[in-house]
Amino acid sequence: MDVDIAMLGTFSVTLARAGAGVDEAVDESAWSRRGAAALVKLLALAERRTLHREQVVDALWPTVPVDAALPRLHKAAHYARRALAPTGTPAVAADAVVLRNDLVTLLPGREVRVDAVDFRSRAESALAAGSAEEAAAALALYAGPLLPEDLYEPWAAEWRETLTALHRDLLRLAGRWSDLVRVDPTDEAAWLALAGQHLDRGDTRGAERQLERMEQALARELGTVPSAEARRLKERIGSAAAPPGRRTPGVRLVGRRAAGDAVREHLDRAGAGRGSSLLVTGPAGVGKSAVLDLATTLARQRGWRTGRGAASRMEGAWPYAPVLEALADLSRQHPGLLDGLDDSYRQELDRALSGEQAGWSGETAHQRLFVAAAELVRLAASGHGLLLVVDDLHEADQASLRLLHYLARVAVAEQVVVALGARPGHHLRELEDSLVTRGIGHVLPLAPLDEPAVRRLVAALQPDLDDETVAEIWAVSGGLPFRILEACRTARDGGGVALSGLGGPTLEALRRVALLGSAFTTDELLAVSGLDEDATYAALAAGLDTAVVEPADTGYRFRHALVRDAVLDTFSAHERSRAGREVAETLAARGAPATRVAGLFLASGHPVQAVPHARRAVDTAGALGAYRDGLALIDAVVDHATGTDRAHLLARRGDLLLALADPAAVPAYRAALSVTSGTEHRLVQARLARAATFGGDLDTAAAALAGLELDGDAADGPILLARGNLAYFVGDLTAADAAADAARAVLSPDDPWQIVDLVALQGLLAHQRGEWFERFRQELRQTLDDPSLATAVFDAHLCVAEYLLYGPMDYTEVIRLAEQLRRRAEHHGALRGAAFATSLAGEAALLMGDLDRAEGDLTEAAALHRDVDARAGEAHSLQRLAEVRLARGDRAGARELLRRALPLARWSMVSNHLMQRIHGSLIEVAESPEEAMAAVEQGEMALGDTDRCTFCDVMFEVPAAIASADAGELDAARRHLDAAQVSAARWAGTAWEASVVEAQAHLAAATGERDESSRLSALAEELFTVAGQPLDAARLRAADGLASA
Amino acid sequence: MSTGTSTNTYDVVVVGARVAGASTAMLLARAGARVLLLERAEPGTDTLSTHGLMRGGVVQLARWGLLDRLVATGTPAVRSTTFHWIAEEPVHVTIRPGAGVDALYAPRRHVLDRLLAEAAAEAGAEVRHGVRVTGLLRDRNGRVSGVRTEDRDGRTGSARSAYVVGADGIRSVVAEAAGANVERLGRHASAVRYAYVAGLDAPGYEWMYGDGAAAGLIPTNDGHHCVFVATTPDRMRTLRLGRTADEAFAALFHAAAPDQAGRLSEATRVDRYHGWAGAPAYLRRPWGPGWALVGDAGYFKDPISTHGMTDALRDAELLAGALLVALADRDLERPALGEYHRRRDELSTALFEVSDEIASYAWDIPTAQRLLRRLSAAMSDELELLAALPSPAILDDSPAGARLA
Repeated sequence: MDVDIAMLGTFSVTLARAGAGVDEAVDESAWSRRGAAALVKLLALAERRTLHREQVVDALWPTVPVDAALPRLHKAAHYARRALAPTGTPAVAADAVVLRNDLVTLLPGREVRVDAVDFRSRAESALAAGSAEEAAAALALYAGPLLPEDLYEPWAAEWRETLTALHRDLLRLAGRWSDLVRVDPTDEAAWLALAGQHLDRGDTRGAERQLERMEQALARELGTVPSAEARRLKERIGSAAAPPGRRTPGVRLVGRRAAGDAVREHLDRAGAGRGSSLLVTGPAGVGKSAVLDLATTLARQRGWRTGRGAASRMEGAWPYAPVLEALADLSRQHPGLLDGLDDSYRQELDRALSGEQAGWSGETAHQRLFVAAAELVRLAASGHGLLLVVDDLHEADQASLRLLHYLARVAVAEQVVVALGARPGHHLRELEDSLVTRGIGHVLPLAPLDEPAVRRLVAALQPDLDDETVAEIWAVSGGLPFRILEACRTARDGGGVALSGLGGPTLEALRRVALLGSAFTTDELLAVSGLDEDATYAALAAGLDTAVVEPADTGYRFRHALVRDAVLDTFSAHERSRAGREVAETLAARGAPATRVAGLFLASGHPVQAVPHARRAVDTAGALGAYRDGLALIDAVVDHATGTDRAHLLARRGDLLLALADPAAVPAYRAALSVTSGTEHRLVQARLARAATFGGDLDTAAAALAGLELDGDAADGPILLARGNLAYFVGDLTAADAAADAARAVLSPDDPWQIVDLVALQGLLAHQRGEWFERFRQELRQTLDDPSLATAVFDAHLCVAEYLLYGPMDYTEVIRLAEQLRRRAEHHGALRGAAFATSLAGEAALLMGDLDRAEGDLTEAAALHRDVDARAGEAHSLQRLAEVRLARGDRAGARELLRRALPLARWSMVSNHLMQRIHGSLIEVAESPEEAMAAVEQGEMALGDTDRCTFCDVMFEVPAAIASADAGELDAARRHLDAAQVSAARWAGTAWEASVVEAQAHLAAATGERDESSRLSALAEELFTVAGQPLDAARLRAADGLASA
Repeated sequence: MSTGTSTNTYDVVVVGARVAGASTAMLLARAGARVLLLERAEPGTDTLSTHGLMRGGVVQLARWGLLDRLVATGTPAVRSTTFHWIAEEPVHVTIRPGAGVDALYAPRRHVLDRLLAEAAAEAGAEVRHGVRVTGLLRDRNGRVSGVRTEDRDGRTGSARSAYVVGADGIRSVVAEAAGANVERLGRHASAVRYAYVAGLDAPGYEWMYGDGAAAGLIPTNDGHHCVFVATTPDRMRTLRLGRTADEAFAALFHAAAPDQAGRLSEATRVDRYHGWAGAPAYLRRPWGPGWALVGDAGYFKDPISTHGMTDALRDAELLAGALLVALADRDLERPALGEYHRRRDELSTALFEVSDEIASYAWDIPTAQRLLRRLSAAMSDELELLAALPSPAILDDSPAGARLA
């Protein structure tokens, strides 16, 4: 054998040294050139290790034209030859990769063994023969999945899928069920076979646990439920006791008539197509969950679909877990719905539902999960209606709250009620306020029961209690139904949770498992109880007997959150810390999701131990768009981290802040600079430059980029983009153009968010040259023709649209195009694009005078931008919304919106455009000439002389000129008018010409030239009419009438 | 002349041995009822159809133990559905294992209808092809008590039975003679043209919605696809003016899915075009004293949803269950058949309305997407009902039959 190429589980090449009789592994560093490694891998899998050069180009550089890709092929071949040259031979093995007659061949004429190829052929013959022995022999060749480091390379996909399927088929043929469920946890037949093996040995408990594991695995895949065969097996082994319905659905609640009426009202309205949200709040034990049960019962009585999740189920669960649990519950009950759900949405939900580790490049992630969840909600609501319940929201992560907020807004136009339960608390205030002020939901505060209600409840539960006991229950229960129920259960006063029936070992086992959350599986209990198997089962039985725990859909749960609290309260602080650490270590050893393990270590006061888990959890949070949760985790551990962990966490801190458009990204990256190395360091430099550029700190940006060269790694694209942005902002348009072009060649269209930045940069360049309008139309057209660009929509292009909107454009056409764009963007999960399109439609509606439509679209656009944390877009939409309010005469409302917009706009890529517009509007909404002048002065101070977009100047200068003229400040008026004219000259053929004429009319009036003022005013009116802006024309007409009168 | 059935008495005469009729006859016969199944056409003849079985329909075949036979006929498994919207991204949905089936099927009707009729015969039903029903017999109370028949040679006859089931399609003689009222009438109608083609690369169902037109690709037996185009009857008529049949078909396909139109040129048409001029949907009262309706005879909805066979398989079981109750105890006829009526309507309303709205061709894409979402939700409801149906004796395919008594 001359050469041995391993591709299963890892990638390595071993060369036989001629004559030496010793094998030599090619050093890993020899493959640092990705192109060279990819070329060798690709050819190793090809028949006779040969491909046509165009096949190679298509596979490795699919977006690059063949002539442009050929130099890359030669370069890759060169580095491959270098890597494959044995030590002590010339530096390049010339015959290792041969390009001849348009063909590319790897190691021609040499004896080469490729493990993946061998495995495939052995596997296929074993399967064809149906031989378990041959299957076992073939399995011995399988060292792991194909090229795990190239997981997302399309050229490896077919081989990977084939080998994965062969591997599973072999496991099946060999009867290796445990291995099979490890690689495919949803293989029900394998679970059943495993359970059967336990049963055959008389091990019922073992069989039960296999079924529980199966249920747990299936629960992580949307809409997958155990088959009839599995249910039958479960019944056979006697664990079929169906989990009881949640608490006592259908039971009449005492003293909650108003709550019941509120629920019915929400269901009624939603039934008529006006969905909404209901946030049930109140202290622990007041009966929030019971009201949510009631809502579920009422909804089901109406034939609605329902889905339910709770944030307390798992301590420190992964992002979005309680909302996903509700959606998974919905899908389990109605798996047929998934026949109508786009695969890409389903995959997105599955990915998030699995809680598995997700990699994150550090770039802003898709918000596709939001769109996927919304689509499932719409689908489930079709026909009858949908009730989505998420309980214990006070324990939810920030990401869940944002997703719920989004779904609450989706609910408005559907037959959907989103019912939420939470203890009151600070972090829910924003959600609460938003639901109420937007009119998309209500808060239903539950107060403790009054005395008559307590008496009625006690009478219903324990009719025989004497009056004195009842009075005592009333006194000590504080009117909380949970305490009343507990008191009645134990027929004693005090209303505490009765744990006295639990022996020492039982309590120890239960309180350790309580650390995990309110629900747990048998496996988890066995793992953390600290007892042997028999004692653990005995503890579980005792817990069930005393009703401290009860069976759940999968495994068990504490009967109530307060019962779990009471169990945990038996720990001393020291005991809890120690147990928490042990439990976290156990979970980590069992491969539990990093978010969960990190959370447990932190909760038990062990931040140092949390660090490696937090590092992985932060990446998952970033990949899923749960930026604030990621930041919170970093803040909790970073001071306890050292070495590469600390470096990575600090770099991620910058990424997360940058994703949130937070100015603190600059100092965060700066902090990361001194501790990172390699590609990560280069990425930090590029991102620091980007953050600093957008923050206006060009010196820092330049310093960050100084000496940074391209190196063929993942940082090249971001570096080029950062260079381009910096060049643009220092006014070197030629350099910016060149950097943008170079970036275009390096960036892959598969990374849409970098493309967004690139399109934005090129847009800004076009803007500067006054070519935006054409460019915008071109981008819009391209987006419609090329779906791959649809994800890369124009987040930073808010000011671009002004060309379109102020020019002689048919607004109904703009709205139509915007709607098309929005649908497409939504389909691709590019919510920022959808938000942009909605805002564009709203602006067009505003300018054509359709205030109702404008109000609706712009409100939606502001909310959408907020949901995806796009501050610039939110500010922009709010500013436009203020114009709608102003047109309706609601100056106070408009001011309030502008007040909200201002801080959002201040630090954003487009602040130099937005700030002028917002300050311009602040002048227009002033109640008096004096106030208007004050607003002009404030605007001038805030805007300063630097960083001003000369195009957007007009948006501030026109209102400033008018206000100054109206206040008799003639010098100021002339100054602003001059500036407005300079800026408006760049807007030839748009309505800004009319605005400038209007300002001239005000100046003429202020200088006493009434006739000239009237003439100019009439001219402005005409120009507005021509530009298709009826509101402005009408405003001038009205003012003219008033003046004449 | 007599057909030889005039003196026989049956529990049920089922008129029409296509999907609805043959299934009903089979289920009744499996439960031990004496069943006569009459069909005007000869065995194994084709009929106009879009073929596509949705999951609910495949579930029924699986529950009845017939899916393996269908698979054995070489009918290809369909494991994905793709929706094409004009100027939008296609939506791809993989058919995953669920409710006991892991693929969908779209058999040619001469395959499926024959298979079902044979299953009915195996279950003990007396199956007669080439016999036309010309009218109903009634007893002195006016209750339907059998059918009058005529065979292909013009010989007339009659058959007496406790119940007559009309499964004789949109122009149902039984419905007409029984006086079954139309209880709900649709407002729109699709005109559809179909062609069978070879050489198309489309392993899954594909539905296309475009400019006032729709189209579909359905993989069926022999490596062929059923390709259909649909629009309003008016447009279909004008489209043909000045165009060849091929040109008209291609023009409408292009209107439905401009991006996909090129794919048709890869394919070869293997027989003539088939057409459906369009008729508004209806729900007829499905039962009365001594009679009941199933399939298109009682409930016809626009073919654009390609859901007719699936509903027929669903209703066959609902009706067979109700008739078995009524046969066992005449006093239970009203509640049992009334329940059949209620459930059929409940499960059909959304499908009926959505198909009718789609058949207006007055939608824009967001509206069509909303309608399709409702369609998916309604299919999910149907599936849940089928999954929850008990596994009654009628599912046992042993033919013998004293159980009913």
